[in-house]
Amino acid sequence: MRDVVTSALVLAACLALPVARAADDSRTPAVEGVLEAVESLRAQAVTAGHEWLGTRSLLDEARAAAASGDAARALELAEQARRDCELALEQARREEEAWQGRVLR
Amino acid sequence: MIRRGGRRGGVVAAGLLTGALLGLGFPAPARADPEADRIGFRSYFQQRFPDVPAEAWINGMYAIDEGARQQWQEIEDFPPYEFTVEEGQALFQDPFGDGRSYGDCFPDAGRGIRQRYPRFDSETGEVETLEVAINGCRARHGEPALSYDSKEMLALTAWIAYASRGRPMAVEVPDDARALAAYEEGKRFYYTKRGRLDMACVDCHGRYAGAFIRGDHLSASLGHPTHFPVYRLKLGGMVSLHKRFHGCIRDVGAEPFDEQSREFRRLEYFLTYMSNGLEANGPAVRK
Repeated sequence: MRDVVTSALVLAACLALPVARAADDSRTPAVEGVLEAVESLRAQAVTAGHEWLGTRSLLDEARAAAASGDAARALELAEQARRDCELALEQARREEEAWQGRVLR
Repeated sequence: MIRRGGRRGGVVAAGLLTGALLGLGFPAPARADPEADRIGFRSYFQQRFPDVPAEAWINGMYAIDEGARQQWQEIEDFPPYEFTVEEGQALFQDPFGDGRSYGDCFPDAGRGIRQRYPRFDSETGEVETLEVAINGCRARHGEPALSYDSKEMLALTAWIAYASRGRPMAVEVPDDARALAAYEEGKRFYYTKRGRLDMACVDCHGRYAGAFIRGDHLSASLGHPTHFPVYRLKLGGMVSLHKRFHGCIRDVGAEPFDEQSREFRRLEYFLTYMSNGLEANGPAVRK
């Protein structure tokens, strides 16, 4: 799990710049690349068992916006989804050990 | 928990190896001790609620809410799950296409068996809940699987629960690394915070059990699995334990797992073991 989380955080760091750049770039391939990268991040949250509610619909809405040619909206939604995934993965990393402090006794 | 060196190093290494071999995705922290966990779990609620006898927890929040308990007892005079139980009994006895019935899969014609579920299936290496066992029986007799939230499945589990009332919960975790790992994964799930609200099962049903959530008291996890499926007044129908798990996970802002997913079966395994010794009393009525 630690590897998954580490790679997710690296991916997230790599994503930050392309999202900012792609906002000025209405070409579909740039937007698609961002969406694919965020989807990959979401898949890692799923694997970690910590996907947050609503992230899927954010990505679905982002795809729909991209399909309708609204790149700015697509990237805005993708950014929200990216933050969700980062936080979910951070939660997963923290909980690897933190849960043991809550055992009832 | 994962430490290098020291006296526990060997145990931790064995846990890591076991986890890796089982493909669990994360290591077992150490050898599980379900009985020590159960004693600690019971002790916690006894200390928090010294005036509530342990056996009262099978009634959920009615164990601590006098007013709601009186209303509930009135409802139990004409229980809304009664027809479901009758339907379940009829379904249990109905022959399959091959002339056999559920009675050929379950001992004692299905009476007095609820308290032993979930069980660890050493052949599959997985936790088998009553619902999975019912569908396994159907598959062996050429019948299609029932949906886990179908009327038929809820009726069958309601009748089996009814026919097992009064039996002490007696879930076993055999001395098998796979069973212990499954139990430990369920335990971990129970204590792990998840979702946008960053909450664990134990937050609501352990630490804050007895506190108000809107107009109702939060029930304690102790005794939860003894009385499912339940008739929910809010929904006007029967609800399985996994459906409740599903709702709780959604409520904390996490993407829920499917009913009878490995995650939920293992959570049920842990939770039910914690209620060992308490009487099976399903089905029940809940708000």
